Amino acid sequence: MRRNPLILSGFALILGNNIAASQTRFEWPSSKIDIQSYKYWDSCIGVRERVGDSVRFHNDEIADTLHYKVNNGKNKLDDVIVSSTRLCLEKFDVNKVDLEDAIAFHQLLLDAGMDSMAHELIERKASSIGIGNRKALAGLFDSAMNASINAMPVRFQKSIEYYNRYVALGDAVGPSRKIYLLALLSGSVANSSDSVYNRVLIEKAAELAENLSDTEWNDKPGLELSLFSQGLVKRVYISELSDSLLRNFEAYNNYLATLFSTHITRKTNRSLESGYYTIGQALAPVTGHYWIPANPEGKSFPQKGAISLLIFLNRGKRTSELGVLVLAKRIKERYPELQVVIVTQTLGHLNDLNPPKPEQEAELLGKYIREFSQLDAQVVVYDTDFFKLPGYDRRRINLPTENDLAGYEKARLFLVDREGRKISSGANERELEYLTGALFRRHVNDTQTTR
Amino acid sequence: MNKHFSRRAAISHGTVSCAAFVGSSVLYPQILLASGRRPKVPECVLDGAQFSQDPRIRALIEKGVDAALRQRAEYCDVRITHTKTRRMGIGSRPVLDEEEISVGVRCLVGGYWGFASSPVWTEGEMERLATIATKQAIANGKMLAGQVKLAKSETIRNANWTMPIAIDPFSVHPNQIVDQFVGLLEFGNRQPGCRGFTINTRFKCQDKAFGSSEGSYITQRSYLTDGQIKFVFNSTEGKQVASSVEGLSPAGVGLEMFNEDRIRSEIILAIDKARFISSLPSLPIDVGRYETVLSSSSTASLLSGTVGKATELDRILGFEANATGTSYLKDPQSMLNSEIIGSKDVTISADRSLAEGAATVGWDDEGVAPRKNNLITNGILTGFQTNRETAAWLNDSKSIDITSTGCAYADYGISTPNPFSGNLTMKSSESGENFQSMIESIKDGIALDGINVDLDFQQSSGLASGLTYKIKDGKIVSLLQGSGILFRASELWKSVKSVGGANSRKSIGFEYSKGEPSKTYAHTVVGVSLVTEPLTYIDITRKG
Amino acid sequence: MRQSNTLIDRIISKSQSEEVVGTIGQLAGEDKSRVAVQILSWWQGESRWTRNRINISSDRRDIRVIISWRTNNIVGKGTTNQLDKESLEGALAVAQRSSEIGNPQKRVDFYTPPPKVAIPEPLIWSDNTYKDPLDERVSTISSLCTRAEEDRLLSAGYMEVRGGSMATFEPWSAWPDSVQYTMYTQAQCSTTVRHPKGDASGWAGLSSFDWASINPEKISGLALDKCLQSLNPVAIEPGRYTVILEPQAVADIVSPLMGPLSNRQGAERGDPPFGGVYEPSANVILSKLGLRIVDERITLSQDPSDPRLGIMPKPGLEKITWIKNGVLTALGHLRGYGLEKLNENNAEFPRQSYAMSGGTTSVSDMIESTKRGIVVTRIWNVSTIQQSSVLCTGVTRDGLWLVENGKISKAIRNFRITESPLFVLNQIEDMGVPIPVFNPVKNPYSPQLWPVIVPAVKARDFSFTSTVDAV
Repeated sequence: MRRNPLILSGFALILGNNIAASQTRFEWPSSKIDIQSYKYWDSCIGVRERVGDSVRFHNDEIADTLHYKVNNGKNKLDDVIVSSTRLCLEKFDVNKVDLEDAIAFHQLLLDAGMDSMAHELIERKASSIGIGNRKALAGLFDSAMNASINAMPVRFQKSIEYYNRYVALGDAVGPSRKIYLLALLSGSVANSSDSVYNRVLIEKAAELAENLSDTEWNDKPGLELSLFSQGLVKRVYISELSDSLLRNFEAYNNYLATLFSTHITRKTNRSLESGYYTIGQALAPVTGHYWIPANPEGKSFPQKGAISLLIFLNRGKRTSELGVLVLAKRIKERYPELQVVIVTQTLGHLNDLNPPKPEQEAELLGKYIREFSQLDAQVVVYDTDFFKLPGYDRRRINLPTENDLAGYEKARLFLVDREGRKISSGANERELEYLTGALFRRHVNDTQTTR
Repeated sequence: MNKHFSRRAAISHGTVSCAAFVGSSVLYPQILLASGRRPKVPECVLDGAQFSQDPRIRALIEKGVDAALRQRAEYCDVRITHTKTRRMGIGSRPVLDEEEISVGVRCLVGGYWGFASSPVWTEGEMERLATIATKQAIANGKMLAGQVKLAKSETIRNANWTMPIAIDPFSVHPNQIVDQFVGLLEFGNRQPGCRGFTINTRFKCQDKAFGSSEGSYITQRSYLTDGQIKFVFNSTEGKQVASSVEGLSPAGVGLEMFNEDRIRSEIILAIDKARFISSLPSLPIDVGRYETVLSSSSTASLLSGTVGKATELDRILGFEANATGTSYLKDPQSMLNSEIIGSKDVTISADRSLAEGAATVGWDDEGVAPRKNNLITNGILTGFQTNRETAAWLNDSKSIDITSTGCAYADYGISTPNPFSGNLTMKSSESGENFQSMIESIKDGIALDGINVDLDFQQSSGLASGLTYKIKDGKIVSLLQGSGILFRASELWKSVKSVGGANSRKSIGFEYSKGEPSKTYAHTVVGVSLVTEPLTYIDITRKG
Repeated sequence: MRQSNTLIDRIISKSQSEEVVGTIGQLAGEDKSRVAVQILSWWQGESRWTRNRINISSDRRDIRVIISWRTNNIVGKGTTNQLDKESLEGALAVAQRSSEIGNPQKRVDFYTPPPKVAIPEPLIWSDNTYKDPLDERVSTISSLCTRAEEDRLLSAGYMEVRGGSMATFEPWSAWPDSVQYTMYTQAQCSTTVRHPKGDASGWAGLSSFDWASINPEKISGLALDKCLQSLNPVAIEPGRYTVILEPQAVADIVSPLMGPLSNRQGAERGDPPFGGVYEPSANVILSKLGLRIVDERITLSQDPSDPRLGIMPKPGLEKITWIKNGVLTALGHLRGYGLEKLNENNAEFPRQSYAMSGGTTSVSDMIESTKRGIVVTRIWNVSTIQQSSVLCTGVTRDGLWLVENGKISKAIRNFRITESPLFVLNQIEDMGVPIPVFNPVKNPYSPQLWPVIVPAVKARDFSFTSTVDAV
């Protein structure tokens, strides 16, 4: 930079003799992180989170999907996070930890990969509680089980052990909580490749569900719906489900319908005919005004003869839904023939852009979705009708799209078979992968399925 | 995995990841090997000790003083500051670092002040600033004779002072502080009923050099640390109490303010208090007069707002008339050593050498060493808070030799100095009484714990509201909502019936602004618990 | 922005800002698209007087360079007031370190930067202010002091002139290659004249970007008259009185409304005072937009192109009318909310500058028509004690008189007030001609120009809750 005589009269941009230049520059006493000086073990939670954040923030791939952590907590922690946590934690004597903090410390030990110490801590806590206080013990095993599940899939054996000890406490634990924990476990099993425990869990869940009294069900309104529709039906039976689908659609449908009748209709007075059960429903072609890439022949989607994954974005904030695209990409990598159709709609705004015209919004959306997801997908954009609130309010109120009215409003994701029937609308990656695999393999075996 | 790490990731974890690699061969080598996108941070040039010894700083000051004297200045002083500020918040904002350096030259010509300042430290700039400052002073005196005189002051030829703190906040890596703060918050959130713990801090370190035409040359390093820890307590009955941890307010300390042992026990105390509050019924105030117990923090708020500001002599003289106001102590000549402004149990002193005080300095911004100054002794007004200019005024009027009490303060070299209130201390009694025991002594009354004080522009008529307890037969029976005390400062301190013992003392830091242009200042007030005669309680939201 | 004819040598110019930005860009190297810079500079000439003498005159200047570093969704910041390469390098380094543990922000660089909307050019620069009228300033003050001395009163006051600049460079903005630069000036003068015994006080003041529009003699004369008229105040009972609020008092009590008026998002979440009811058919919460909330003579607006209402320019800054003929017609919001909810690319930028409609009645006419009431010069230290009704408290200061049978009968002691601006604006009897009042920029490091233009107002049932000692 050249010296500017004008500036010399007031501010000095660069001055060889400006003493300030040698005093400043944030050269605050150089400091390093002295992890050995940490006095309390819970500062190691700070280490784990800070290192974890930094790994995430500075990893361009993960940072893009920052807001939608697929499989939250079930993935193996990054090695640098594990080793930093361990380095911090090693100096703390597990035998001196206040047993009041056992659960939190246990979690941290697991995150540091110090499993045996973690389990020892639970044993010490259990013996300090004593066999007499079964309620407190139940709480302990419940938490310990959760911590193990959340850490990483390889710990399922341990979590099931905790579960068994939990159940063994008999009356001290409520049946609905048992089922809830089972759902948690089974959900995790479904996500892991380890299906050994599947059958055991299914049997336990079914047994418990059968034994629940009506009062117990009524105490927990909505529990059965969330458990059975989200947890057990979709996850626990995953291998049976995919096996049945592999045989034929009818077997699959029967299997699910039986489950539904057993576990839901009886408890909720909802019948198969009430419309709640929608597997096998023939899905209408999606409607859209803009197609990316262009669809000059006016093909309809889902296409007859193709196995399709329909993804609906826009049910809320668009950016918070993009995680599902990451999932779709991984499935598509395994089954390249899978036809992915992403349906979205204009909202009249696109981040900080000047309110775009529908065609501009559609074009940008198509470009963004296809580039973000790195998916060779058909993007369909519906030009949403809206009205404006009158007067000074002027707010834009979007109207439901034709797709919403055609039965697509209830879920974000639909797996569709070659006959255009809905096979699943769950967004569980493992389940989708199994079912998609079954659909592709079935085609080879048996193309003649009837509804 | 296509991971893309920058060098920042490695640097931020510093020893963490590096040390981790020692015993492990499989971790990401790219963290270690990634290179060079980050600009190189220069080596440490000068730390605080060197600032004080750097002959160039002294040379700058001498240059400024000499230039001013050459241009007819009768007196001149120069302030140079180098200030580092770090703000941190967990759960709300990242680390924000700021740095400023500046210099100001003040000259006295013909009883008028002139001042010039800038962020440039060169000899040429010192010459320019001295010229402008004298030009300003001379211009001021073109029509009327000036009035400014300076009280005598000891010349300090070459001295250095560093605020005694335990841990320099800037010597600890900010990420390490983040780890420890996260640990504190985790600790808090683990406690039954607690959630939403947040922590915010500000650390300030300032190197300051002062020199004057009287031959003084002083360097000093001071620290100011501030913070809040807030949380929400949910009682088992479903009541919510928004709470904060006590003992965190501006103070002349370092990172030890966040001493983990202490903060952890403070967190437990704050939770106990929140639990107690949530257990009380909440009632509207029955307007009237009630005997009152003030907690030490409430006393401190009232002291800072009333006596602290009212004894600033510049306010009394009208220097602040067009800004934050004057004082209810209107007549300094006749009031000194005779005016009764409190009960005989009330003794209040100001002292900028108080240990850990937010306003504590080695010398003030006119090179005056602070001294303990009894503002009120056994209820009688015995002192004012002065700088050299206002002390000289009092000298003239009282015909006695009064020196400055060392209250001049300029936040940065860029600003002109103004007098502010020193750290205040209310003398405790020998009684051993505290907030709790005082409550037990009340049959029917009110206790105030932690209040906001809203005063008029002479520090006299005030409205104070905060956490208000109803006392019945020595016990707290309920909370009172929407109530406040309406008071007159002179009557408030006269109504003090009993003063708590040393065990009820608490130091609280307060910030306030003053001057034209406005400057912000912090001082510490040491309060004790008090019992007063009945005070007037109103519903603060009721209109007239 | 109007060009200056004066040599700009005390604040950082556009080309100097560009040089600094260029240096920082070089330091960041290949990462320069991650770096944003804001450079603020200011110069001030000040004179403070007290006890009928100037106490100090000063000439001060400073800089702030705020460097932001963005990594993916995180922004870190470092701030310095030095322009040499090493200092900028240091600030860049701390910005980078700070970005490591920041909170993730919403992605703002979707595909295209925000649109290039017009940046208005409000009138906020005056050579009159920047030319540093030191001699004029001190001789004016000296004559004000002389007059006060002749009247055996004590005058104190403050005059300030300022020039400032703000340069912004953001690679992810609509101007990725250029520095956006603004210069502004600001002048203020206020004075308080007191009786030596401390039993009377009068105040007057004005702020403007243009020093030439401030008449110190007039201001001083007003303060002096007010002081003389305030001698021997008597205490009267607190309670509800008809008030004649002088423009400064109107600004003091109306300004707390600007917060809620700037929060459309809050109102549409249901927050009082402008939040409304749930409308199930559209699944929205309706605000009070479109409802009459104050007297129909009241219009509250801000037009940055009005030379008396110039504020710091921003892309898309436009006129806003919050209240039109008593009806709530707009609430402030940021552009994101406008795009998302209104499908309009318009922020209704929050601002503390406003103009209020008025009438033609003079204060003396208001007094004449009043049987019993109180004239208020200004209200000091106003704070909101109840958000839902914008109930405020504060104290009257520097001139308070009782009106009886159409005449000022006596000076009275100050009161604490407990009142809501919404109540006052619903109890209007009469209004005067709107004029600019005193509302100067406080913090030079955050340059906000907030000119306010309001009329004198006569209103019923204003609530004075207790007397205060201060005079």
